Amino acid sequence: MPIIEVDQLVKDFQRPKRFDGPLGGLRTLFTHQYETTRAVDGVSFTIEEGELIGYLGSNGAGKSTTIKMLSGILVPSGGTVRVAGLVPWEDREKNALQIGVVFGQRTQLWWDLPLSDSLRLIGKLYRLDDARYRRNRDRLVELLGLQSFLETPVRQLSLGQRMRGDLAAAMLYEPRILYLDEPTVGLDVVAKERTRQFVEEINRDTGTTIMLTTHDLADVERLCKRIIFIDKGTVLYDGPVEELKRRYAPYRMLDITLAPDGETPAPAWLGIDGAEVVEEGDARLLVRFDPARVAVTELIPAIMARHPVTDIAIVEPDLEGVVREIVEAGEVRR
Amino acid sequence: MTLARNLDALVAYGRMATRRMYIYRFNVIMMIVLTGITIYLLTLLWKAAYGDRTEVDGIPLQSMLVYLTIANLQLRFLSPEMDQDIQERIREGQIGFDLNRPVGYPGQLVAGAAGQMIGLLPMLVVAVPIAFVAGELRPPASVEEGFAYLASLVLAWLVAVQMNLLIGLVSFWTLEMTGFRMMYRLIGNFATGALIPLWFMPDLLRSIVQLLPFQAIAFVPVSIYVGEPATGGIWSALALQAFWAVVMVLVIQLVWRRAFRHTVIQGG
Amino acid sequence: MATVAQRISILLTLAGASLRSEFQYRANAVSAVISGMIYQLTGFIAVWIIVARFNEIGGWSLAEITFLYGMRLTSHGIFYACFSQLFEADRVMVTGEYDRYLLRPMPPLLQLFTRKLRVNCFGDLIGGLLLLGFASAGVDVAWSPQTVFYLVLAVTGGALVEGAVQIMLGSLSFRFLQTMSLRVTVNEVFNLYGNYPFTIFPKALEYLLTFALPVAFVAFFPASVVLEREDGLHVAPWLAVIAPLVGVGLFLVALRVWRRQSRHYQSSGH
Repeated sequence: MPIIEVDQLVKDFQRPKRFDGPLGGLRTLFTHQYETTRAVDGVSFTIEEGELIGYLGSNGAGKSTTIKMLSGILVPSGGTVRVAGLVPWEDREKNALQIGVVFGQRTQLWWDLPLSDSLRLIGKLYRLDDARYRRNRDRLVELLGLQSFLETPVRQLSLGQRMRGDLAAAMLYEPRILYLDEPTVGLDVVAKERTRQFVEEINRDTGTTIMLTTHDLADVERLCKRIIFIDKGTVLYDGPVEELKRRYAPYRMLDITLAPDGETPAPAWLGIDGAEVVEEGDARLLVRFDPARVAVTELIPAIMARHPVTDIAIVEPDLEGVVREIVEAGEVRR
Repeated sequence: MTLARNLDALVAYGRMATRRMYIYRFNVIMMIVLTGITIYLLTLLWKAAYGDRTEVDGIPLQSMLVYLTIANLQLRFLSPEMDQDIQERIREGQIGFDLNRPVGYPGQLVAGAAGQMIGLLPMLVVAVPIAFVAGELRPPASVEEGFAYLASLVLAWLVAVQMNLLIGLVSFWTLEMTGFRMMYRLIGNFATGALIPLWFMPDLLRSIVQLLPFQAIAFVPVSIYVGEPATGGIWSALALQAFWAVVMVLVIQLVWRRAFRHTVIQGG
Repeated sequence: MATVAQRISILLTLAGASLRSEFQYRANAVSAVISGMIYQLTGFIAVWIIVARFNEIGGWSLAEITFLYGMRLTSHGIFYACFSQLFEADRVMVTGEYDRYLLRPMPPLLQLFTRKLRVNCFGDLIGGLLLLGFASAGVDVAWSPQTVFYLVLAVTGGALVEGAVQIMLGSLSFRFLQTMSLRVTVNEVFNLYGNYPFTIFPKALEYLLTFALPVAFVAFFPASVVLEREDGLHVAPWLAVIAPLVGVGLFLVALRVWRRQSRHYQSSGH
C-alpha cells in the first residue's frame, strides 16, 4: 500500500484584481474581481514507503505548490491526496507529526535564538520525551556536525550551517516522510555534497520516505532512482531515471577533433547508416549516432579511414540535456 | 553661489517631496479619517463637559467646537516628519551624500517639508468635508481675523518645521531615540493646545505651556480664528509666534553647526 | 492528540522563546515599556483635566471615569500582550512565514500569537492597573470577593472582545492580504471611544458601538455593572452583566471565522 497517493490534484490561485487611483485599495477590497492562474493541473502519482523520489520541473512548473498541498499548507482546488491515510489539510496536526519539511529558501528555525533552543522547542512541539529527544538530538548533532555552532543565534549562521540546522529540526522527531524543497539551492559544493550524503543516509538507514524537489540535477542523479517530471502543472514523466535516459539515449555523441593537415570534409560526407553530422566547425566535428544501429567499434575506424583524427571522445547524455529537451518540446519522447 | 541657483535647487527638493506625498496618498487619507474620528470624539466630550451651559469662562460652546475642529485638522497638515527621514539617512549611512550637496542640509530639509506641505494641500478636498461632518466648521470670526489667521498659519508652519528639524538633529548624536520622540509627541499633543485649549488648562500647567514654543503651532492661530486671541489681541499673538520662529532659527544654527562638526569628525 | 495540559505547556514554551528573543535587545525593551505607559497615561491626563474643570461628564464623576478608563486600559494591555501579533498578520502571510505555522502540530493562530511579545503592552497593563487602583478607592462600590471576581472576568472578557474583532479583521488578509489600515482604524476607534461613558454619545452611535462594533462590551458595560450605573444604559441591564460571556462567545466565533478563511491561504511564490 503506497504511503502517498495523489489523484487528479488541481490548484488554482486567485489574485484579487488590483485597482490604482486614490481609492484603489477600497475598490480592490469591495469589487471581488479575481484573476485565476492554474499552478497544478491534474497531477496523479503514488509513492511507496521508503522511496526517494526526485520531483523535477522548471521554475513555476508547480513543484512547490504540490509539496505545499501534500504537507497541508495549501488546500487544493480539486483532486485527492492521502498521506499515510490522512488528508493533510483536514488532519493537519496529525499529519504534521508524521512529516518533516525543509524549504531551502526559508528557515523554520527561530531567527533570534541559538540553534540548540530551536531544537529544544521543536522537541517540545512534537512532544518527544526526554530520552528520545536526547538520543535523536545527539545523533543528528554528530551526523550533521552541528556542535561548533549549536549556541549561535540562527540569524548569524551561514547558509550551509542553517540548512544543516533545518535538516536536524526536520528529522528530530523521526517523521515517516520528509519533503525537501530545493535543499541545495545557494549552497557551495562542499555543503551540497554534505546535504546529499545526509539525505542518502537517512533514506537508507531509517527508511524515511523522501520527496525531493530541485533544480540541481546532480542531486537527482546522485540520489534518486525514480523521478516525477512536471511542467506547466502536469506530469510529463514518472519512472526510473535510467529509463528516461534510455529513451533519449538511443543517441550518443562523438566529439571529434580533426588533424590539421587534411581538407575540410564535404557535407553528407560520412554516409554511414545510423550516424549523422550534427555540427561542424574548424577542425571539429560532432557526430550523433544510434548504438543499436551502428557500433562504436565500426564507426570510429570508418571515420578514421576517411580523415586523419587527433582525438575522439564519446559523450554520454546527461540528465541536464534530457531535461532541457523535454521542457523545450513540452512532452516526453516515447 | 547665487541666490537664484540656490533657490532653483531648493524648488527641486520641494518638488521631489510633493511627488513622494502623492505616492503615500492612501496612508494620508487614512490619517485624515483617523483625525476625523478624533475630532468627533473631542466634540462629543466637550459638548458633554459644557452640559447645559452655552458659555464657560467667556468661551461659547460653538467657538470651542470650531476651535477643536480647526486645531486638530490643522495639526494633521502641520506635522512634518523630517526627524524620521534624518534618522533613516543616518542609519543607512546616506547622510554623507546629503552633506556634500551644494545646498545646506537644513535648507534641503525645509524645502522638502514645504514640498510635502504643498503636496498635502489637495487633500483638503477630503479633509474639510470629513472635518465638517465630524466637528463644527464656521468661517473666521471676521475678515480681519481671517487674514490674521492666514499670517499666523504661516508662522505656525515655520515653528512646527523648525521644531521637528531640531528633534531630527538629535539623531546626529544618538540613533536610539524612539522613546525621546514619543515624549516629544506627547508633550506636543498637550502643549499645542489641540486637545485642551490654554483657556481651560489648570493654572500651573498653563503657565508652563505659555513658556514653551508649542502653543505657536495650534493654540495661537486657532484662537485668532475663532476670535478669542490670547492675552493682548491679534498683534501680540502674531508677535509671540514670530518671536519663536526667530528663536528657532538661531537655535538650529547653533545645533546644526555642532551636529555638522560632530559628523565630520566621526566620519558620518 | 495532545492533551490540554500538554498544549498549555507548549504554548508557554513558545511564549518564553519569544520573550527571550525580545530581550536580546534589552535597552529597546525597557524604553518601550516606559514610553507605552506614558503614552496611555497622557491620554488619561487630558480627560482628567477636562473632568476636573467641569466636575463631571455625562453624569459620571472623575473617580468613575478613571475606573472606566482603567478597566479599558487593563483590557487593552491584556489584549496587546496576547494578541499584538495580529497586527503583523499581513506580513506573516505575505512573506510565507505562515507556512511554518501550518507545518507544526499546533494551531497556527496560537503560533502567531506567540510569535513575538510586544513589551510595551506592559506599559498599558501597568498604567491600567494604576488607574484601577486609584479609582477603586474613590468610587462608591461595596467591594466584595464577588465584585472583584466579576472585575477580573470583565477585564479578561474585554481583552477577548478586542481580540475577536482583530482576529476577524485579520482573517480577511487571507483573501485581500492588505488589511492593515482597516485594522489600525478599528483599533483606534476602540482606543478613543472605549474609555468614555456612552451617555455622552448620541443614541445612534451608542447602538453602533454596541452592535456593529462591540466597543461597549470591552469596558463601558461591565464598568456600569460594577459601579451600579445601569440607569444610563441604552440596553437591558442583563446584556451589560453578561459582557464577559459576550467576549468569550465572540472569540469562539472569531476562531471559526479564522479557520474558515484560512482555507484561502495562498502561501507565497508557487
